[in-house]
Parts: sequence; C-alpha cells; structure tokens
Amino acid sequence: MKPIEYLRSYSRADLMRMLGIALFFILLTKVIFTYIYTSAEAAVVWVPSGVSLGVLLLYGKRYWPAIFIGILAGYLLLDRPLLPSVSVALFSNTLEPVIGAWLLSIVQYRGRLFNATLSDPADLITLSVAAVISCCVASISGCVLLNIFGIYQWGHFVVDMLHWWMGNLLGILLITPLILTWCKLTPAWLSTPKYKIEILSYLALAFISGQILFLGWMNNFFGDSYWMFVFVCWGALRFGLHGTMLVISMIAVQSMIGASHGIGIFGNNNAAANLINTWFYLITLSLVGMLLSTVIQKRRQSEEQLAEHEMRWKYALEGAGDGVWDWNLQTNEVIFSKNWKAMLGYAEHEMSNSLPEWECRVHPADKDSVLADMQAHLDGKRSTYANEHRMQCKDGSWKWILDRGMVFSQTPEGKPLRMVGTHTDITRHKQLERALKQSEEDLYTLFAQSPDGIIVIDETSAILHVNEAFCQITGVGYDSLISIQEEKFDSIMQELCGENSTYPATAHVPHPSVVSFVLQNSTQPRRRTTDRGEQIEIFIPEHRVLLRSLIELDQPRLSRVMYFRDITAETLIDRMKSEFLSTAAHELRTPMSIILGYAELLKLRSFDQNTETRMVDSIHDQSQSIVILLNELLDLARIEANAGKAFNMVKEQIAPIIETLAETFMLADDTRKVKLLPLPKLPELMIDKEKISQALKNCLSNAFKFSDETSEVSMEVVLNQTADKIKDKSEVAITIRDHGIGMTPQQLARIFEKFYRANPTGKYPGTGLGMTLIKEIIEHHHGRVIIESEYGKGTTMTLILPVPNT
Amino acid sequence: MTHKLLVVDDNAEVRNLLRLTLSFGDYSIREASNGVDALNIIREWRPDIVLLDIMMPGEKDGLQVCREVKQDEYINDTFIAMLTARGQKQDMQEGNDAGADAYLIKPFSPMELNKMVKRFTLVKESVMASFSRNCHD
Repeated sequence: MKPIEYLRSYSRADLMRMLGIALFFILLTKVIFTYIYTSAEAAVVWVPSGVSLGVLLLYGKRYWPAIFIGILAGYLLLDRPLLPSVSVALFSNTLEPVIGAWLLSIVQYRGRLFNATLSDPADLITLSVAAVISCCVASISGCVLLNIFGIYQWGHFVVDMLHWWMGNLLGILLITPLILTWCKLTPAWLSTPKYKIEILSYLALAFISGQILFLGWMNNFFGDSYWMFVFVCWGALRFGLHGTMLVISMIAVQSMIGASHGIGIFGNNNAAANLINTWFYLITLSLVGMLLSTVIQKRRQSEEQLAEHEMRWKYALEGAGDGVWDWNLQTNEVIFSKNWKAMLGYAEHEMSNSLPEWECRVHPADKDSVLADMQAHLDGKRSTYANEHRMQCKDGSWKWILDRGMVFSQTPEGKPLRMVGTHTDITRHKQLERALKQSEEDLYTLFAQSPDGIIVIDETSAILHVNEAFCQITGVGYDSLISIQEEKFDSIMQELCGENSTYPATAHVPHPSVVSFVLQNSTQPRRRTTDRGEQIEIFIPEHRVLLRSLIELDQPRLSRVMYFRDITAETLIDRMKSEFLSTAAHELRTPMSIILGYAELLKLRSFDQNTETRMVDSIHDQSQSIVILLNELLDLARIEANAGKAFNMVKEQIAPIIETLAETFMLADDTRKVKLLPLPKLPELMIDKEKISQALKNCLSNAFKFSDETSEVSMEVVLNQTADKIKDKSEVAITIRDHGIGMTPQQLARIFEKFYRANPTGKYPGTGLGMTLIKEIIEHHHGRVIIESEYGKGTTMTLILPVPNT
Repeated sequence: MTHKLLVVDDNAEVRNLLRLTLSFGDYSIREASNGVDALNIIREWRPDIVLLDIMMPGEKDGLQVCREVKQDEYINDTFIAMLTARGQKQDMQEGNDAGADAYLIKPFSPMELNKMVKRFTLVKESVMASFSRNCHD
C-alpha cells in the first residue's frame, strides 16, 4: 500500500482515538517516573506494556503509531536523548505489543483462538505465552539498542534484559486483562444494588489490608502477604475478572510503592531484592487470581448454559404435556417427572421413585410386549425403545400411553446404565384409531359386498380400488386390474366385448354417463337361480350386458368411480317380452284379420252359399283360436302372480281324468284320438284336477300339433314304487309319445323358456307358453317333467307326480 | 284390362280371404305359399301387383322377396304391397328399405285393400297409355 493510501485508511474517529492514546501515554510515562520510580530499571510493573498491548488488542495492530508517538513524546519530555529514544520507542516499546497482538491472532490453544473477552482459561494461557515471547523480544532489542547507544553496559546485559522482561511481563499480565475486561464487558454486578455495598466493602477492606501489609499502617499489625489471596478468592468468586483485576492492580500499586520506599513486608531487604520479591509475589497473585476467576466464570457460564438447556428441554417436554422418566438400571431407581405422575392422576408425593411403581401399573395384557420391546433395546437389537401400552391411573381407569426411551450411558463393562424416556398420553388417539378402523371395516364390507362392480380411479388415472363383484361379473382377475392405467383398463374391457361390440371408453363419453355394452367373451361362471331358489353355475361363454354409471368425483385423491351393474337378466327379459309381444301380436292379428276381413265382406255383398258357409265357419274357428290364446296368456299371468293360491289341491284319483281326456281330446281338423294304454292300479294323488287336465291337454296338443295325421300319439301311465329307509318315494309317471317332427338338442334345451317357440313361423300356431304352463303346473305339484326327443323321429313327454305319504 | 295379381301368404285362410276380397274387381289371381314359389311366379307370369306377407317359412321371407324383385331391373316395376302383422316403426322402415311400394297392417279392412289396388291399377293404366302415346309419336 502506498503511504498516502495507508494514511487514508484511518478514519477521523481512529485519528482522534490515536491522539488520545498518545496523550495518555505521555501522561502515564510522566506519572510513573515522577511518583513511582526513580528509574526505568526499577520498574517491577511496566504499565505501558500492558496498556499498549491492550490498545492493540482492542483497536487493532494499526494503532501502533499512537503508541510510538506517545511513548517517544514521553521519553522526550523526560529529556532523554533523541536517537536512542526513537529507536527504543520503535523497536522495543512498539514492537512488543505488535508482536504480542500478532501472536495472539495466530496461536491456538486446544483449537481455540485468543478471545479478548478472556472468557476461557485457555485465553489466559495464550496471553501469557504471547506476553512471555513478546517481552523477550522487546527486552533483548531494547537492551541491545541502549548498549549500542552506550547508555547501558554490555556487562549488565543479562540482568538488564531480565529486569526489562520481568517488568514488561508483569505489566502485561496485570494491565492487559484489566483493560480488556473493563472495555469489553460490563460486569453484571455493576448494576445490581446489593452488590454495590459488597463491592465497596470488598475494595475498602482490600485497600486497608494492603495498606497494613505493604505500607506500614498500624505498624505491620499482621505480616502475611498470603492474606491478600483471601481477597483474590473473594473477588474471583463474587466479582469475576473485573473485580479481581481491580483489586490486584490496587495491591500491585500498594506493594510496589511499599517495596520501592522500603516499607511494609516487601521493604525489609535491599531495593533490588524487595522488587524481585514483589515481582514474584505479584506474578503469583495475578496468575492465580486470573486463572481462578476465569475458571470460576467459565464454570458458572457452563452451569448457566446447562441450566438453560435443562430448562428449555424441561419446558418443552412438560409444556407438550409429556411425562419424563429417568431410570438407573443399576439401582432400579426411576425418577418420574411431575407430569408423568400427573398423567396417571397422582400428585408428586404420592408416588415414589422406583421401578416397581411403573411395573405394577402396566396392563397385564400388554406387559409381555412391553418387556419384549424393552429387552430388545437393552440388548442392542433396536436403537430406541418404543411401546404403546395401557397404564392404570389412580382412579383405576386405564390410559393408553406411548412410552419411548433410549439408553444414554453405559457402565465401563458396556452394560446399559442410565435410560431416559417420555410418556405421551395417546388414549384419545387410540380411540380415534379404533373408531376409524371400525368405520373403515364397515365401509370396506359394504364395498366388497356390493352386488355392483365398482372401480375407483385415482388422480394419476390409475385404478385404486376394485371390488369382488366386478371380478365376478367380468371374469377379470383382481391382480390384473389393480393399479393399472385407465387406458389399459379400457383395452381389457374392449377385448371382453369382442369385435362386434364397442366398449365405450371413458374419454369419449360425456360425464356423468350411463352406457350399456355387451361382453361377449366373458367366461365367468354365472350363478343362475332356478325358480326353486337353487344356485347353479353355468360355465358357458355368454352375452352379458352391463350398465356402467360413471361419476366424476371432485376430490384431490379420487378422480372418478364406475359402477357396473349386470343387467343381463333384465335385458333378456326385455328382449323376451318384446319378442313375445311381437309374436303374440302376430298370433292375434292373423286370426283377427280373417275375422274382420270375412265379416266386412259379408256386410258388403253376398256370396254363393258354399262360400258364405265357409266364411262363417272360418270366422268361428279363428275366434276360438283367439280365445285359446287369451286363456293361455291369462293362465300364465295368473300363475305367476298368485303362485300357490291359484291351485286347489285335493287328494283324488287321477285315472278318471286321464280316461276322460283320452276319450274326448281332439285337435281341430285332426281326426286322431290319443291311444291310451291300459292303466295300472293307481293310488290317490294330491292334485288340482283342473290344472292337471290343462297340463295334460297342453302335452297332447303339442303331440298332435307337431305330428301329422298318419302318426300315432299314445299315452301311458306307470307306477314306480321305490322307497328308502325313511319313507315311501313312489311316483306316478304319465307318458305321452308322438312320432312327429321332434326337436333338436338346441330346441330341447330351451323348451321350457317362456315364449320360446321352436317353430316361430305360422305353420305351428302357438304362444310359446304351453310347455311353460305344464312346467309351472307340475312343479307346483312337486313333480317333474322329462322330455326326450329326436329330430325327425318324435317326442316323448313324461309328467311325474309324487305319491303322497299316508 | 285384366290385371294380374299374386297373393303370397303361408296361411291358406288368409289367401282365401284375399281372394274373396279381391273378387270385387276383375283380376286374374294366383297364389303362392312361400317366398321361393312367389319369386318363380313373379318371373314367369309377370303379375302387375303382388300382395306379400312378411313372415313366411322357408329360405326367403317377404322382405327378401321384395328386395330381390326391386333389385332386378326386369321385374322391378312390379307393385309390391307388404301385408304384415308387425306394425312397429322399425318394421315399416325395413319394408321401405326393401323397396316396398305400400304397407298394410293386419287386420286390414277389405275395402281399404280394394281401394289401394284400384288406385294402383289406374296409375298403371295411365302410365301405359302415355307410354303407348309416346311410342306412336
């Protein structure tokens, strides 16, 4: 840096301060030499050393010009020669604090740099070391310079150097801490009133003792210099560095005055000896005092910090409502915090601090798990201990407690020694947990048991929930559906729909929407309930119609839900109904058009006799057809509506019914009669005569209708007597055989279906209800119907009725 | 001019009814009981009008017959009236799509049938008349 710039780096404030310091030095030098010492060599405490180091430590090494100028001015005012003054002032008096400050900025003790607040004993040690070295340097250079200038003699070099070093060292040790502490920190006791009295009496007593000891008051009343250590200790304990240094400075002044004037306990020997004695005394006193006060201060600080920490944690825990326990595993003593006891309803004094107090209150059902978890932690298997269990309160009730803890100290052998932990009251939490779980279970049950398939999609367009009904209805497995993306789901469904129908993908359908589509490739076994309430499984691929409702959910986690309802049955019924309606309509319309047509024609004109007769006959026949049709319809409707009530069951003989039927039954335009084989002896049966006639008539009607006039229709009745151990299981079987067109296996499978007509053209008129009626009637009689048929050969129908037990 | 009429229905009574109904006019009437026969007669005999039932057994039902006739340019001037018991809108649409010229739902009034047939014969006569006039010019 250029000189100009260097000068400019000092601010106005700096320059003012430096001026003040320089003036102070001038004054100090004057005072020392006028009142205290006769010569520099006799200086036991070289105050300027302490001040100069203090200044540099407070304001920085760049304040050195102030020191140089001040000391030089001081020398000059004492009429010292110019050149020696300048060189000594520069290379000794200024160099010393500069070196000292520099050393303190780089030396570390136990990883700590020097802290000018002197808060740690380590600071004193670094200060002492720096002082020793810098004083050494200063004394050597000073003595050398003075020898060169002829003021000192080379013969006295070592002694002079030693004196110099001793004086400077003590100066630093006494004054620098004094300056640093008083300039850096305000003592706590300065502002507290009760301290003021103490400090005053302290200083007063010290002063008086000093006067007695060092300056001959009261004629050396007591002559032990060690008494001052009392004051040092008192200061260290009560007033810290501030007080201690103050008193030590005072003692230093008193003892030095005494020593140099030959009075007091340090005044007994010759001057040199006195000063040496005083020096050693003061060094000891100050080192002890400073160390003691810093150590005590540091200790106090640590204690305060610790207390603060403890307070913090204590308030944190207690404030949060938790209890704290501290367990000594060797003595089994446990310290329970106030909150711990309060949590269980006890006041502090109502529970002692021992392990059994805790152990006896743990719920017996939870004890095993608690001990297991505890042992796992103690054995080192788990890094912490945590367990939720019930504890008994004072009033006998139970609370759920979350117990957590950790071993934090071990015996020298490595066994756990001390463990500390907390108690948190989670009763409410547990209640909520249980309620939630229950609610969840309830809802899940409803979800799982729903007859509709449900698919829930989350905000990432992945499937979140699938219920069992969906898998049942579609035959797709749960694992292949969960968590897949919506697009994949669409493609799976499309595959099920096959090529001929479209699965309406959600993207193309407005929301909310209800769409139906056909699953053609579903192979899921379907349970069909027979009319008797049985459930049978059908393993054939079949059409399935599903109704999908899609609802957009306005939720952060769920984006939409789809409900799939199996409406196959309804659709089938609808289809059957419309088929029936169109068929029935057709069946009614044809006879109607003939009746209407002929009737209108007859109104319009007359025809020849034969034609007219024929027309009227036709009208008559067709009307009858309509009547039969209507009756069938009504019968079926009635049976369906009034299951059971329509039947009038009476125990009677069936033989007469059969015989009459065989006699009288004939189909219109058909000359044949049924051939009845001889009847065996038959027991009485529980029958509704009218309905059984109806059923037999329908059988005969079909037999005649589907065979031509050349073939024979026969009827046979057989009694099958069987019995098992418990009861008689005899049956009566009525068999009607024809040699007509027969049925294919496919037609036979559907024969009993409502409105099913194997031959839907007009050739064989009918509603498709005939067989259905037979089945309904026979089933109500607790019997069954067996049909065998071969296409092109003929059909055999057997109606079986049970014989009632007597 | 005697018009030729074909009556197609699988029910003999219905055929008889139609024959009697049409006895008011001077028509030459033939009958068929299924689609295959009907087509043969149409091609051979060339009736002017066909009364056609939709629901018939066999290979071809009424709609199929109608389609074939209308798609064959030699015979598509044949007037076809569908007679049927099915009166739903979609059935009428089907009939229309197949090319039927008229649609009657059973039961129908014989007078209505007569009127319809008469109307058509008049149309045909005037068409024939204008045709022959044009030929002469």
